Amino acid sequence: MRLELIIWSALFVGILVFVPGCKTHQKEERLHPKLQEKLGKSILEGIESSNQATFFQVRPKWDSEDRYEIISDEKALPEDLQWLLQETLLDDQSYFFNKTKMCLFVPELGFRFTGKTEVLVLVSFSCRQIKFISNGHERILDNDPNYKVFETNFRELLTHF
Amino acid sequence: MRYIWAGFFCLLIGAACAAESAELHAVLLIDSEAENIETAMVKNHRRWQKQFLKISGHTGMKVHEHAFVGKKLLSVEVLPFLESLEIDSDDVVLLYFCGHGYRTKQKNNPWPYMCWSHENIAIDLMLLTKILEEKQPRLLIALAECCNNYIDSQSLDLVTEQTGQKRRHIMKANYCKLFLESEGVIVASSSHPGEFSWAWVDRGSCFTLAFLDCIEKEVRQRDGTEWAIIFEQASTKVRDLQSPQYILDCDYSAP
Repeated sequence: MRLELIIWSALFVGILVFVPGCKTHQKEERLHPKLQEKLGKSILEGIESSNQATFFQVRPKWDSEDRYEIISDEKALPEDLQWLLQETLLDDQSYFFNKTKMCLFVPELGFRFTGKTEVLVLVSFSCRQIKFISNGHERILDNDPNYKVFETNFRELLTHF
Repeated sequence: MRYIWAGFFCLLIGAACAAESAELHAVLLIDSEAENIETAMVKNHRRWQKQFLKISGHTGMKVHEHAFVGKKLLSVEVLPFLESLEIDSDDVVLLYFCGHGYRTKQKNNPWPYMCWSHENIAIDLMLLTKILEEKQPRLLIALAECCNNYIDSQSLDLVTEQTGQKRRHIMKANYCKLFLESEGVIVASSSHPGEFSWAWVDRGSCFTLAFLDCIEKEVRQRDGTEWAIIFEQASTKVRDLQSPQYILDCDYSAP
């Protein structure tokens, strides 16, 4: 009787611990109201729904309409880096929204997300800014709060070319 | 008797300011096409225009605003204009730029390159300063409100109606000191080499706002003011964001 009680108690405690634990592995819906206001739902969904992102080298081309040109082949972004990039890009805490730098945007590295909508993300390390491009719309955001994440994890991608 | 002396004193200050024929030439280079900061640049322009009314009102100086904004900010327009600008020896010249800026490792002076978006060119602040310095105005203020960061490739105190005559005269005397009695050269940029300059998206550039705020505050000081104080205070105001740099070769010996 006592053994049965111990077994049932162990099972009950296990359920209490295990079920919430499972929940943490589920994909939680990201909340980023400021980003959505600045970029629009389409760009955010484009990044979030993308299964395979690519990266490439880019440089300014001031006399063109786009003001940039891609100067390398596109390479597949490793899965762990893609996860980190999506988490970083889709976080309100990564950006300043009420102030911006008076900096000439010099793109160096680019990412392409091919989800529901295609989104290009250009990174300017010298300005600590990110430009989002999709369906003819562009927006630059200052990513100073998390620029070290980019410096540490993504700048080295430029050495792949 | 005391009121008679006070009235006489006020008349003396007023006459001194009015007697001057000095004029203020404000050359405003407003890059309202600068990507991502278009609105803030237009706001900067409006702020300066309000300030010119006050400078003129308090000093009696005639203010000539020469603004090159957006599509009109072109080297073929601005450079010939600066070369041909006629300046008297008692005049004050303000050269003000706002837009994007940068520097390169090779640049041998601390001042930024100013980006003129419509033309896709960058011009050294020092170049324009020298053109104007050669004309020997009594006071030259050259101010570039832009970033001064390295890149690898080349590439407002609310102003209300014054509460009394006394305060009005304090302001008048201070404005006169800053714009009529000072002479020399002041060169400044809103950030040190390697630094960014910031703008509040909906209000204007941080240093311009701080600089104009400090003028507003300092001209109310009973003990007088000077350019060094204004630049120091404006720099302090933005120190958490950027470190403005300035050289003041300026004294107050002018009559």
